[in-house]
Amino acid sequence: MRKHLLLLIASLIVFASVASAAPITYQVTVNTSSIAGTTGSLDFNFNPGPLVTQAASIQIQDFTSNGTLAEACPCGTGDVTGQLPSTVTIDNGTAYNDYFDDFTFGSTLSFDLSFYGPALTAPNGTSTSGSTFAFSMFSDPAGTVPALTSNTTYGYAAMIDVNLNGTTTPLDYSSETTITAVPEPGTWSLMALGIGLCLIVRRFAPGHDRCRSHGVLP
Amino acid sequence: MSYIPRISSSAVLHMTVGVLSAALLLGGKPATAQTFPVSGVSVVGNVLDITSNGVTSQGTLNGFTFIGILDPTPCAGGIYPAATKLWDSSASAELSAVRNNFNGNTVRFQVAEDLLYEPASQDFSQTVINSYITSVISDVALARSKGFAVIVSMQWETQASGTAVCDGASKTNYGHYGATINGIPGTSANNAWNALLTSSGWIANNFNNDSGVLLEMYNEPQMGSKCALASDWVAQQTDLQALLYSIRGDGANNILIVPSMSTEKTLDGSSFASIGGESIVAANATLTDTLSTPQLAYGMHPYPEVTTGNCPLGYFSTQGGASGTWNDFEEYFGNVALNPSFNAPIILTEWFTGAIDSDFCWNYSSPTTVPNGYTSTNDVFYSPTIATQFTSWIKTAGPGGTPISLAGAWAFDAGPGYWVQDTTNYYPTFFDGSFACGTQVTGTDGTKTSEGPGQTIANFFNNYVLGPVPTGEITVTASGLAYSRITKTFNGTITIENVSASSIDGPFQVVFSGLPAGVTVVNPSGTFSGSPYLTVPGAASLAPDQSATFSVQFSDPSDVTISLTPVIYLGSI
Repeated sequence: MRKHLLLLIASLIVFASVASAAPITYQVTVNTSSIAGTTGSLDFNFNPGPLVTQAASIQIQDFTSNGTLAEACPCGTGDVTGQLPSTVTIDNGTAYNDYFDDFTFGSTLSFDLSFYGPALTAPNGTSTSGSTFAFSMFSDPAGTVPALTSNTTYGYAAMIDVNLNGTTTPLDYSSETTITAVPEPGTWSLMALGIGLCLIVRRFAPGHDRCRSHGVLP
Repeated sequence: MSYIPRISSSAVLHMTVGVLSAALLLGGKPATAQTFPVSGVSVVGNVLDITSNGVTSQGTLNGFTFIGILDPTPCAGGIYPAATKLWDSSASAELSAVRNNFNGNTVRFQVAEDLLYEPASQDFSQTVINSYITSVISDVALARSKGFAVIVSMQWETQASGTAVCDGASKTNYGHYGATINGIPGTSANNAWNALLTSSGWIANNFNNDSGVLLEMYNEPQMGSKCALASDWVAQQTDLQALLYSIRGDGANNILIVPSMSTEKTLDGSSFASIGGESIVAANATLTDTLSTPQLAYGMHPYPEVTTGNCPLGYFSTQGGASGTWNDFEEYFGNVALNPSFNAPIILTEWFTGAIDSDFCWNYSSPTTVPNGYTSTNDVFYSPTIATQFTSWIKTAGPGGTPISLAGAWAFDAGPGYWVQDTTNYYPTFFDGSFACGTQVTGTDGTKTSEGPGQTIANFFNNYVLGPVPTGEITVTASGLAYSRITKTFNGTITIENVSASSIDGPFQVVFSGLPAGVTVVNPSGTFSGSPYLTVPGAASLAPDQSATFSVQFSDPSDVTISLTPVIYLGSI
């Protein structure tokens, strides 16, 4: 009975580590080797919907690439601050919040994308529009020829919706792009604690792989 | 392509929407513009809810008036004996034609006040009266058994049993008495309703509790040759309120249709002298119901025609000519839609526009300039343009932009040329220009016919927009709007969800009202009342808790805040 209780606590801790953390962060990685050397452009925008929208923000962090960003800026329109490769913050405060920059592609680029603000941490239940982040790559500096995307109509390589319940939904339109959820440091700690507890229980109960049976361990 | 969703609930949500949409595509109940059969009708705020096959949803009552049961006595004159004869021989076929040839869901029976009750010095014997009551009950039962909503309208005018010597007595005052002013209801109306509503046959059929039966309290109250003034509305209100108490006291729990004034051509409560004032609709003549949930609708009889006389009633005589515009409908009939305090549905219990005239033609010489093309004061000016414009206007002309029911187009059995070409096949009439003034053609039943708006109304009934969905029945939510440098548009999705307890039939039209200047919808299905709208694809109906999602694209060259007020209409626009 005691072991069951410990297993339950361990499982809850592991699940809580997945479900409770904020802000929500994704790592976006793009294999740009097929267009390496091309002088093109990058576009990031984060906009509200047409109905009542709760405040939300994103931060583009840890931008890394062996390509080359243009130095000419300002690149932001609307509620945008910062400049790549340093952190860029975009709020959904106006209809059009966009960061657009010339870019000579290398073989790869990546960045972390964090979502935060009341729409994510405290959904008010009365808003009727979410917000949407869109990332596009272009093979021309003017941003008219989409690259590395199957979404040729609009040119998006990746989108992430902020839903009305505070969750997010990523949409990936590029075979070269990977969107990976990044657990926050606190989440790592919780998860480690939970897994540790599971291992301890497992250690003293040979032949009874409770953690696996609870779906906690792979 | 790969991603690892961190929180799966949103993904589940989107999957649910997708699955539901697929279900709708595969197995959704087909939408019908006219709810049928009608098992019940109720007033909910300023709209009507209709129950059919166990499902209750907002709807409209659309159909025809029948005059064939009004006066079966030898006193009847004019076109009425022929209508009575037709009804006696072909009632079932006539009703079937209303459904099969026109897609109507409602019939309106005019019944004679004078034949339901008479004072001691009556024109008719009690035997005649009892027989008439029995026949009315039988006719209502027949129409209800065929699935129609039935409006029973109390007719007091001369055509209700005539003015001639009949049944051994000379009639006076059309058998109408006891009113404050002749032309508005008095004790004779109270007595007539009492005779019908408390009769054993009516009670045996439980019609007092059949919400598919509606009672039009009094047909076309009027002042005779006198113009209706505000004081007349007060007099009508007084007498109608007394009549309401009497009818409710008789045990009737049905919807009562309160008539507007002066042949029900206007709901404007002010003097006709200020016809352009768009003043309060029937504000001087609204009634108080005794039911805990008021079941009152307000009726009118708009006949858009040239009219001359002492009162400035004629839309075309006062507003026509070179300066006339179709906005004058609102001036003529009252701007119901803009009156926020008027909280009851509007039902048109009579209406007609056609070629029924002394020379059997409408002024076909200038059809493209209608209504300004008429030249002859002898021609009552009807036209297909009037029919089309008017039926379009009533879609949103009700209180708060709600649809108006066109329940009693006059009259299905008035004779070939009105709504049907003949009384054999009941084909709708149509304005085909094949008639020359002064001529008629012979229908398949040998009767003469002329041009009428039958096909116009059949098309209208088939495609009538059911009106905006009441607040609280469907929610509308939207995603954020991602900007595309390729299309230079803001792109997202909109989701509608049925949060009511009942299934709602589509098609669903989402009207984007209130868009800021410079913001346009790139992919509209069309425009409605000046605003773009999108038809929700694949959503034939939405069961409770079901939703449907569709894409939307906005153009916003100035990057102003994109905002809108979505209004959902049902049916086709």
